[in-house]
Amino acid sequence: MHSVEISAKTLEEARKAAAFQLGVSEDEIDVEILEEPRKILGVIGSGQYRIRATYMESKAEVITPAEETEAPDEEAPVAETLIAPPEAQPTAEPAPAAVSPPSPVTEQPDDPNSLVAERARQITEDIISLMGIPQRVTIANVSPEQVELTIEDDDEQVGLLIGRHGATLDALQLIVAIAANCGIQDGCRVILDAHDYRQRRADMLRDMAHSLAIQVKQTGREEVLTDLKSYERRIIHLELRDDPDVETYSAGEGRDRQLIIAPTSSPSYDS
Amino acid sequence: MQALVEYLVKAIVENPEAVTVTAVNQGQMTVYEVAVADDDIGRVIGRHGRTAEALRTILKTANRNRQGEVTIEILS
Repeated sequence: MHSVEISAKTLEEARKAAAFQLGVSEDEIDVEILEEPRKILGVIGSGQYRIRATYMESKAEVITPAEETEAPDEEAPVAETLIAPPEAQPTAEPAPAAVSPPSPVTEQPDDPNSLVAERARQITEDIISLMGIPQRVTIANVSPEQVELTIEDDDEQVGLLIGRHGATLDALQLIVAIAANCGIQDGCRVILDAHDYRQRRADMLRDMAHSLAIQVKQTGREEVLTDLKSYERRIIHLELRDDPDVETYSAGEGRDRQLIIAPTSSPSYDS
Repeated sequence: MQALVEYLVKAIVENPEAVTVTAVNQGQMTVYEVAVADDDIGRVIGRHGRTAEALRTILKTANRNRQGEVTIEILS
C-alpha cells in the first residue's frame, strides 16, 4: 500500500500531484484531506490543501481468474512469429529475408517500418498470450521515425500489463522493440500503449508542469520532481521551455535523477 | 513460464538456436537460468542491465498468481 502527502493551492492540483507522485491515474487513488486552507472573509487565504493520497491496489492489480494463469505450454513459436504475414508488405514485392526468423530483414524501399510494425504487433500478442493475458494488439500508427502499437483493452486485465508506474508496459515495449528490430540496422522506435496510459500520463505531466510553474512563480521557490523516467522529464522540459519565468533542469544520476523547476532569476547549478 | 522465458530470449538474440533455459528451484524461488551465445550476452543484459530487468518484470507479471517467486539469471 503506497501513500503520499501532498500540499497544493487547490484540491484539484493536490490530487493531480498525488496521482503523479504515485505514478497512477487520479481515479486509482483514495484521497483524505488533512488540512484545508483557512478562509479569510470568504476568500481563500494563506495555507494550502494538504492531502494524503493512497494508491488503491485493487483497481490496478486485478486478480485474474485461475484459468487465465496457465500460459500455453507449447514451445514458443519464435520462427513462426517472425514471419511477417503478407499484409505487412505494402508493395507486391516479396521480402524473402523476412521468412528466416532472426536473420536480417530486407527493408522495403517505400515503407520499411510497416514490416517492423507487423512483427512488433505479432510479438506483443505472443508475449502477452504466454503471460496468460491474451489481448488483441493493433498497429495505431506507422511513421518513418516510429511505430505505435495499442493493446486493446476489452478487459480489466490491461491494468496488469501496465503495471505500477507503467513498469510492465515499459518492459514489454523494450523487449518488443529489440525483437522487432532484430537484424535491422538503425531500427525504429516502438511505442507500446494500453488503455491510453502513455497519452493520459503525458497529459497529466503537462498539467502538472503548468501548475507547478505557477506555484514556482508565486512562491519564488523551486519545485523538485523525483521518480520520473527520462521521457517523462523530457515532456516537462519541453512543456516549460517557452515559459520565460521558469527554467527546468535535471540533476542527479540514475534513479535519483530529479527534475527541478526554478524561477528564472534564481541561481541554477547547471542547465 | 519456461515457454515464456524461452520466447522472450529467443526473440531478442541473434542466435536463437544457442538459447537454453533451465529452471532451477531454490526453495520458494524458481530461477530461470538463461544461457545464450557469447555474442548475445550483451543484448540480453542490455545497458545498465535494463533488458535483463525488463525480462524479469515481464516474468513476474506472468507469475502474478502462482505460488513462489520467479526470476531470471543470465549465465555468462
